[in-house]
Amino acid sequence: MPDGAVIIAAITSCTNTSTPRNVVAAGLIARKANELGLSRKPWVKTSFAPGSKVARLYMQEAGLLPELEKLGFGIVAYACTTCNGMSGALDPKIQQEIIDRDLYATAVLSGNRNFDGRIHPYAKQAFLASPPLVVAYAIAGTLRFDIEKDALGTDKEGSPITLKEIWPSDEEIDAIVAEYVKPEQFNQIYNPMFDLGVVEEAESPLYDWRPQSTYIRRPPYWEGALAGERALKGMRPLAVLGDNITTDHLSPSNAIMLDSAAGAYLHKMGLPEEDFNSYATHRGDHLTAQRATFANPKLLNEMCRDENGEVIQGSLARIEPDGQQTRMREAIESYMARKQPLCIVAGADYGQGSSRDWAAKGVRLAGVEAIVAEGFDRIHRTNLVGMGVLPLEFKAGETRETYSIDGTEIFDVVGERTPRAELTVIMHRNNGERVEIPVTCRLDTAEEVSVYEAGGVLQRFAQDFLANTV
Amino acid sequence: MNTNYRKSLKGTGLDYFDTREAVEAIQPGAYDKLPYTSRVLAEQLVRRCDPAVLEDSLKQIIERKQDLDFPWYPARVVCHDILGQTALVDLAGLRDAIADQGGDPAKVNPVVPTQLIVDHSLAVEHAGFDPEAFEKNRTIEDRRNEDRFHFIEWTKTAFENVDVIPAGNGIMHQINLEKMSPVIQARDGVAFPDTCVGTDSHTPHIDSLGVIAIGVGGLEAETVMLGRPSMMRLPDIIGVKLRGKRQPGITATDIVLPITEFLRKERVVSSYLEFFGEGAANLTLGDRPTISNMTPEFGASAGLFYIDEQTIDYLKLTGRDAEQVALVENYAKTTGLWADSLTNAEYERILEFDLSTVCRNMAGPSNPHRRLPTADCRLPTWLSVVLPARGKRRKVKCLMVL
Repeated sequence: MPDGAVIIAAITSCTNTSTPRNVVAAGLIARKANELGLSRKPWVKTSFAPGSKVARLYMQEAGLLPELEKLGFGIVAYACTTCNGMSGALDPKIQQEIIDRDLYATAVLSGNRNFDGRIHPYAKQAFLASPPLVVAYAIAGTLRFDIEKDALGTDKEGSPITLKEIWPSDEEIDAIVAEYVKPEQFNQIYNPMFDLGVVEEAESPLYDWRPQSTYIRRPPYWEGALAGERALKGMRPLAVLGDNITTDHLSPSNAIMLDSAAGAYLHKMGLPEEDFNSYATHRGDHLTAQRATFANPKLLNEMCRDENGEVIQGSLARIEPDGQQTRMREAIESYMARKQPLCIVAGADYGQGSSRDWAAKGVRLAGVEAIVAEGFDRIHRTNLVGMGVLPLEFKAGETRETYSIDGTEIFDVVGERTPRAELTVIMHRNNGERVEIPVTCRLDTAEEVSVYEAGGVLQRFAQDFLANTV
Repeated sequence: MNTNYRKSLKGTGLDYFDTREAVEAIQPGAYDKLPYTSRVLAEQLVRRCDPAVLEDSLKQIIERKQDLDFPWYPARVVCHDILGQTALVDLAGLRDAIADQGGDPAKVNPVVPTQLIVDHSLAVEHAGFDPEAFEKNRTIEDRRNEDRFHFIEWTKTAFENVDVIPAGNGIMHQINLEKMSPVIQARDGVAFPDTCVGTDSHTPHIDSLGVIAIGVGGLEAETVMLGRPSMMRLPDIIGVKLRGKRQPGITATDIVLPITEFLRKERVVSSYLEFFGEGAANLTLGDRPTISNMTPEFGASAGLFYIDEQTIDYLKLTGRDAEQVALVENYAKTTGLWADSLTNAEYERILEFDLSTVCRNMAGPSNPHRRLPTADCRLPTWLSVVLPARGKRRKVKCLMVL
């Protein structure tokens, strides 16, 4: 295997497989490659995952599916697959060689995202390309290659074959699309799929929750801390954070490791490690999902510092008033046991990134009642309101630093919560000092106030529902 | 539903809301200048908005102000099996709570049609050179996700207005494009533009058909499912004029990657983009979705194309029935959503992109907007910067340790 090896070549994603021209072009380039005796390099994990079953029909009828199969691009799924980071395991021998030789391995996919580490942990970098180009890279087998000029192989006479000799012309592509992509195929696939007919009604309107499931669990929004009053009094900071806290810090999505809080829980529940799955798949079970709260090892909680005063990176917190530094999860559990109301103090652009509701659910379940930040991401702020967490904004120019907030303080919020009202955060320092911090209430509309006061979107709905029907 | 401005849509037996008239009553001559997005948002206000705040809400759109939230009532909610499932777990929990307090849990249902497609759970454990890869991968998927799929199947039988497309059938956005979106809805005797929210950032895939479709978080999707409006502030609406024709041998992927690079640089964060111009009209069948799909990579919220002949051809190709296709054309032409009637649309900002400049491209590493022309793959800079030699990498590592 060469350095720069392409270990994953995936024709995948709705981005490109919903365009028949792209899929047909991949089939045509495969046909020419097969004619000329080219083949995929043995270390390339090839796959074809169209976003619809119609692609199989027109590729089959055009005689192009067998051409792709011959090159290793048989259909592996009709789903998001590699584009969603679900590339699956590598051949163990190939993986070992990558580790042993410290190889720089890559992925080429026809998807829409290529952030480092997203596609596969051993594909250090990923590249987005059209489906025919993905096929070409499976043949080349490496990115240390001039894809336009270098020989992909040689023909029977020993002459070099380059990309332009196998690249299909627009006329060839258009002729196939015109002849083989037909309305009947869409009807053949979709009419039965959407003929949902008379669905047999469930025996009970209530779900029979499986107590052992780590995927689906009755949500606790009417129990424990969530059923209690949010007094916004005597709150201790769970974390004091800087700017640009993302939803990936607040509730990561990726694979669950055994040494994490969620991993320990899954292990305790009897799940084998190879079936831990990702945080994302467990978001229907709050007992797993809440263990993702602040589980990101890149977190910088300013309450946790080393002897030189430097902030320590990690999923860490400091339990107050004891001053004990622990893993974040242990701090949350300790506060939950004490029924300690919590808050978070943060910098600018709090909650940016993927629009992940668990980033709000997780802190609420931990007992966080308010977040005081210099600014909020648009979607995350609405998620906080939807979970009954109060977003409060510092006045311009004021920050956690101007108030020298170190996490030992206790906070109260006073004032009438109306849209964008001026409220006061009263901060009690350890030394007895009392500081008043003016903040803007980031419940922006009357609707948001009504949702917040009920305790969140679901509680609002339940109250209105019961008021109207009982 | 409101009653003012409701009229009969010729030749269909359906009614529609005359948004043009409602807008012109506030400011004569205004409708012609409105972008596509504004026309669709105004329509749903005229149809659904509380009459007490209708005029103020419409004025936000007409006067292009961004100082007041107005309601948005999406016609559908589409979900995949990650966030959609958590939303439905919440609703099932809500039923338990209602039952505990003496309410009738069976009455808790999404009021907006909700479609859940299971597409996020399959891992490619077996590659495409294994002839049985598909069956093997599906078996593993079912094993790992048994609890989840059991619940998802139950939701289909227990909730009204929830349709489930089980695992193994395709990707949510592509099924939305090829089948689920009618482009123009016909409900309760009224025709109106299809719109949706989806629990995935690539929901704008079907913006390519002129359907406003936006990616949202799970809680916002729950809000919409339960019939509460999604409150929105008028977004920045930016025109993207596509000029020229692509060169031979250039795919839709080659085009969308430089557009991504270009729009990132132009900072279109959270805006609604509208692609138009001769280049947009020339984009062949099926190419537009590739462009709309990467809307979140542009940084934008929506990436729309007007409804035109290409839209109609695509609907026909994908087997939509003739009556529905005729309704789309009729409605779009009657209400000013057809491309020809948007030539006077005014944008605060217009960006231009020339399709004839596009070469063969990839993107990477690390970012979708980091375009990499294949012609540059031979350059020494590409070899040294993108794929540093092993020795060099080690050095970098050491530096980081120091």
